[in-house]
Amino acid sequence: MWERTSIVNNVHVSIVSRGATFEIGELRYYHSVDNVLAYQREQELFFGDEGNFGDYKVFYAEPVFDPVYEPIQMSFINANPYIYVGEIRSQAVSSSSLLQIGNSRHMRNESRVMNVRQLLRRRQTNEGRD
Amino acid sequence: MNFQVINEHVSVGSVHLISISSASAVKVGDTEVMQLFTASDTPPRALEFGPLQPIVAR
Repeated sequence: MWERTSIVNNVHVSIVSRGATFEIGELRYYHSVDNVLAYQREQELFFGDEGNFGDYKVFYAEPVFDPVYEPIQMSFINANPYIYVGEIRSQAVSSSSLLQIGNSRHMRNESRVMNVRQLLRRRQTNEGRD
Repeated sequence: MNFQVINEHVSVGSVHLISISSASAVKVGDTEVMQLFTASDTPPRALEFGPLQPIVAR
């Protein structure tokens, strides 16, 4: 059923990061999770043992994935059993993304990001913040 | 319901991307099930002014 062959002549990827995958070949199950708690501080300062994913709703809220129920009879005729691609160029694959050349069965990617910026207090002027 | 697919010749010249990110996928091939989820939170209170303090639960 999922049996076409992918032919890619040339792939160029510079960066693969944060739970991302560059896969050449088949996959049966794929599950990748990327949690990021990003604190950006105006001054270089790190207290050490700080930050907890459990404190933020974005990390513990469960995604509403409906159960996979598809009562459809599907049939495939691979008149041409090849997928041809000349070239793929990407600067980056990141945040539990997937770049795959080949077939897969089930994939589930998850990425959660919390961004906080901490700035030092600024003097308020008539023209606004300086 | 019956759904029939006939895969004829597919040929792509070149694919240029800047980046693939936030739980997305680029595939050359067939897939049965894909579930992609991304959550990003930058609430207004995430911009804090004042003396820098440790990360605390709010």
